[in-house]
Amino acid sequence: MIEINDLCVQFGGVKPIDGLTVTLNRPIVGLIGPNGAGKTTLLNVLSGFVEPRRGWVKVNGEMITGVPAHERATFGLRRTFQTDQIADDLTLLENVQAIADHAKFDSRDAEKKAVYGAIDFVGLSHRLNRKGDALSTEERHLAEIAKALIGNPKLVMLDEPGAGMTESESEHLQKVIKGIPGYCKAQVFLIDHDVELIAACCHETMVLDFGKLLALGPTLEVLKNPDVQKAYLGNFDDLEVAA
Amino acid sequence: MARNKDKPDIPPGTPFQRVRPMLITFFVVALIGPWVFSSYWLNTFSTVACLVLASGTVALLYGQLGMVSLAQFALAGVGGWFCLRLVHGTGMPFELALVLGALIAGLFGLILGLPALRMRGLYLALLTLMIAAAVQVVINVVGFPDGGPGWTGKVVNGQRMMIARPLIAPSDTDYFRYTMFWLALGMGLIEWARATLPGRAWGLIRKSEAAAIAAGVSVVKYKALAFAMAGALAGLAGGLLAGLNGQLDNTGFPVAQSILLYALTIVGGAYHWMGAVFAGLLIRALPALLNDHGVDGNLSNAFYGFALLISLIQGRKGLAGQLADFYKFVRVSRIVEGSIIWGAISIGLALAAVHYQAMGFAGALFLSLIALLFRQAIPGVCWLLLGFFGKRVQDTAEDVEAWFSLRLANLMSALGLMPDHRILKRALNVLFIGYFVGWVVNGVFDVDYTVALTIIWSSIAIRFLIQLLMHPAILPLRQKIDAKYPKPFAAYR
Repeated sequence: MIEINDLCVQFGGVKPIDGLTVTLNRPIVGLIGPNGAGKTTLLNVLSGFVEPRRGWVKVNGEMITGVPAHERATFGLRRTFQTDQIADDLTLLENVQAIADHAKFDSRDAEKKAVYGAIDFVGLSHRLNRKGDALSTEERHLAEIAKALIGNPKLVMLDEPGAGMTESESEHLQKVIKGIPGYCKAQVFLIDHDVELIAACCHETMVLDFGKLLALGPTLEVLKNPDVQKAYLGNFDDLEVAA
Repeated sequence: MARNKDKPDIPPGTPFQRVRPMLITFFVVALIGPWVFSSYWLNTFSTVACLVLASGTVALLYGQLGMVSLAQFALAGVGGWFCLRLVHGTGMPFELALVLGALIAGLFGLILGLPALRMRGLYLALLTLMIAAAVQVVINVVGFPDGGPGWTGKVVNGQRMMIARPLIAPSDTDYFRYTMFWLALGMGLIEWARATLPGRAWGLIRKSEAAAIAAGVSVVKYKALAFAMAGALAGLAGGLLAGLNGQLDNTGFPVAQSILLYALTIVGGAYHWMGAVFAGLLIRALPALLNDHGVDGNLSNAFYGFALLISLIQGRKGLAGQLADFYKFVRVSRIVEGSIIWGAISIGLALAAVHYQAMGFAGALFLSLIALLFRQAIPGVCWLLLGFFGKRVQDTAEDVEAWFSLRLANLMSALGLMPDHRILKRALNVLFIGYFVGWVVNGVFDVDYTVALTIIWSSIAIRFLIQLLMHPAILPLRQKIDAKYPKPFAAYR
């Protein structure tokens, strides 16, 4: 469960997030919004790269505002990035192992099980020893997700995991994302521009526009909300149509 | 590179498997070196070993974290200073002073690394350059300890003292092996770190610091670890240099040398242990060779500038990276076959050389082995040089070569011979490698030029004849072996 209270972020004169108060408690939560809505900034606040000017964030009842970024990973906040961060000259296994190296495990066996389990879960067990630079775009995105599943995460944040994927690849991604809460009991926070992916995966969707909450509720209701459609597509009333 | 999707990827191997080739190489060199080199060249190669270790630390920082440190040779000076001071001041065993000197240099490296946690690229390079300059100034003023009183340990008027060689390595031969031991230990440590947890953490950090932090990696800790390791091992190299001659020269650790070390590490290749070996050889062995031939060794600096330019154009992997890429295609059958044939030819020629009293057995053995090992080298060098003029020139040259080779191979099969698609490259190589290797051994072994040339050319000619005549018989055997064992270095890095 993510609780956000009166969150305010300011970069100079720009306010990417302006007084956001919201509680998200469904297993898979989507976040959409037009460019510049503050989606990635919110993710950066959650993962500790951006310090809010005002307000606080709690995850599963624990206050995380003020906790250093690298400690949040140990606490159980895992995220992926828009541009995937797979090291080119390490193999897939080493890439995932590198994350497990810095997570807490009861035993060596548990660590090994977690690493192989995560790779198997995203469906990449046949690419274990392939180097990062030889993985396809889809495989790199999936590997990023595998990395985020290490170390019993409480919250997995995915920043546009579906970017640049074909339709069939996106279908596989949907299955993977839907399976995350069952696999490691983590809440999933999904940002994407692919509305189809959001609609297929998310129990609940939140829409941001210019740093303010525009809508929150069950995904289909939110997507049909006229305010949301207007924010995404603009107002057609004053449009001068050529034809 | 196009890859077969169905082919399984080859695992990189356990850490020990990944360090093993390097350790074996160093062991063989330490074993054979003293048999074939004169005392002068042994001391040169002891120095080379120290420089290889220093270059390895540059490669560690640059290759693993992308951090440019121009102070590594200065840190070697620091390690050497404390090693000398400790031995003169307390009379402690050399080994202990060596390790303590290395630890102190490691501490210096760590302090140097602190600003590096926030700096990168040009600014870090400038900062480390300043530190290298500061070390040079301090050494110029204070001087290296030579048994005098006070904290500087400097003799004012009187006889300078030298420290004794370690008890277990009094002679040049022993000291060469002693240095090789420490080199294997130091480089082994670096390679081991690369293959295990620190290496993976460095991999995450060099991809993106933000991603590393998000994964719970302490960027500060692992950057500091790299700097401390690099400092300590550079200090170790400095201590070993001090032990080689019993003293150090006040002018021996200039800023220029630190920059040269960095530049040649890039030429050699910062992503593979062999790169450090190339760098060490280029810094010390090549100038020594030139001097031996009556050419001013400083001339090599001009060549280094050219080499750096080429390696920047050719990509960032350096000589070692290109060699490693080449190894990936080597098959087990060729290794077995090559070892048997090369060994037989080399021993035969060496025996002949002894019989005709042309030169010693070990020297001749070494010579023919080198000639055979390098029989593909010249086309590679030509290819590299052509790369200087751009990819298109390189490609055109390859096309022209392929056009001629194809026709020659067709002609060979028409004549009932086993076709050889690389015959043109081989011919080019045979022609020039003789002159080049002959020139090198003429300097290193004081071997008569004609004798050297005869041995080199005949070993290549015999190898070629064997290949021509026995190829049809060997071919099925080769295929059988290759089907059973995969390419051993395919995952090598």
